[in-house]
Amino acid sequence: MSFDKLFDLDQKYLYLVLAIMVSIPIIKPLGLPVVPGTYTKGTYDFISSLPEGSVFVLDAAQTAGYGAELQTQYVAILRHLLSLDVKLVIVSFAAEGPMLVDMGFAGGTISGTPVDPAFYGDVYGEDYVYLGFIPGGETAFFAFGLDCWMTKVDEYGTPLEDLPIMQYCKTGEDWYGIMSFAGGNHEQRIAQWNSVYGVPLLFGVPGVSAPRMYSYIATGQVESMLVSLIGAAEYEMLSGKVGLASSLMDVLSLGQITIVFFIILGNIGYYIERRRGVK
Amino acid sequence: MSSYDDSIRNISIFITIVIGWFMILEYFVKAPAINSFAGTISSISTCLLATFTIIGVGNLSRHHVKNILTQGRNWMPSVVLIVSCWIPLVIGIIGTRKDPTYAYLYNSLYLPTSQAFFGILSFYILSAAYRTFKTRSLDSTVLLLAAIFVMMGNAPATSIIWSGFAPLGGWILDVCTAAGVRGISIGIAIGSVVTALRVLVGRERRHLAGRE
Repeated sequence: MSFDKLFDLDQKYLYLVLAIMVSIPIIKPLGLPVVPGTYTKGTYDFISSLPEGSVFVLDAAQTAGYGAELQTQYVAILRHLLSLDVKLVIVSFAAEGPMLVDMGFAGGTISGTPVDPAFYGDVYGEDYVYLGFIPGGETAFFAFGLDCWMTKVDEYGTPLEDLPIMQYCKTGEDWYGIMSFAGGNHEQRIAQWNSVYGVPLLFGVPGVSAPRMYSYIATGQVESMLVSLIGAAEYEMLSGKVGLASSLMDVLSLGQITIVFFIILGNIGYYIERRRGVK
Repeated sequence: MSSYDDSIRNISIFITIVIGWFMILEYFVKAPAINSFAGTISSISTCLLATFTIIGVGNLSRHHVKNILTQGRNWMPSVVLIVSCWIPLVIGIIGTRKDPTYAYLYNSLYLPTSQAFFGILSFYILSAAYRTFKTRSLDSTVLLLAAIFVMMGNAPATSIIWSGFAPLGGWILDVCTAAGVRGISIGIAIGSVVTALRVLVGRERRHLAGRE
């Protein structure tokens, strides 16, 4: 292969190199370092400081497409919350939520190992509850804040009056905090929950949605957030509950470094061509 | 346009104005009866939205079944669409999402397919970045450097190479990106308020297929 061809590689070679680079840590984990970022620390500090018996809502609106990013975050947060003495109310505003909430407890390809609430001494209906999927987008956010009993029954058909935890959670005014794992509709959540009830709002967002969140964090409308898989891995590290995200961080790191390497390689080639006067 | 259509449109506008203003004013009032009524309206809206999904699936199916029966343009993808829409739907309705077949379809077909689509993106990003991300001008150089610092900052392992990647990438996101997004958000918000006001005074009629 001549020197010139190195700067004009066929895409099949690029794909091959990337495939090899992301496969290496899957076959043999490298244990590359993970340094928790400001927003992950903010999320961890907020959740760690939840008062005993306070109501915290998890809005499990993750979808399969964003699974590697949002489901890993959700599982990391779920493990931490179950280990604390808080009243955990889980609800989904995305149709896929119930499948992925089940997967969170049972374990799966994008969840990692099962999360067993009994391991943390938590009892369903007393310490945590799952209300299921509520359709309607922003209308549903508004309705749920106004009346948390709007579903009448939980996901498994048990009337809410038979679940002691729901006595502590009737409207948005009862929430100490809420965390949403969603790929979209963030502004609507801010408007319906933070602006109306002043509830501290945290987000778990995919990488593409993160830029929209920075300005809301600066204004205090959003408390903090986890960004993408890296946020999940950092959170696992902080909470001391290592899971799937930590094991995937090597893949992410090597993938990013490969992309940057090829961008630099392409620019070296472009620079040499320009020096030679090739247009 | 018939007078019947006009009547329906006028009724829709009237309902929109009354309900719309009520829901806005309810925000500023703390009275259990009014707040509860607002909750009832939002619950009705939630049910209506769920009903519209049925209408959407019905319309989609009708269009594609017709396409299959007449063997029209791209009728094979229509078969795939009908099968992939109706099989999980029927299994889900009969057996609920706890049904093993439904769980199998979701966990073994939909989930890996969705993940694969997102995964494939990284290959296209690599190819596109390698070919097009060049320092052709000052603008593109700034963009390139920002992209490199953000990407390297998001890959924790790069702290071994240089510990400044994460803070610099973070600064670009916190300051430069936030400033740009804030401008866009404020612009969108002003546009939304104007559109909402037009709907609430009955001037915006395009969503009712009507002329202004």
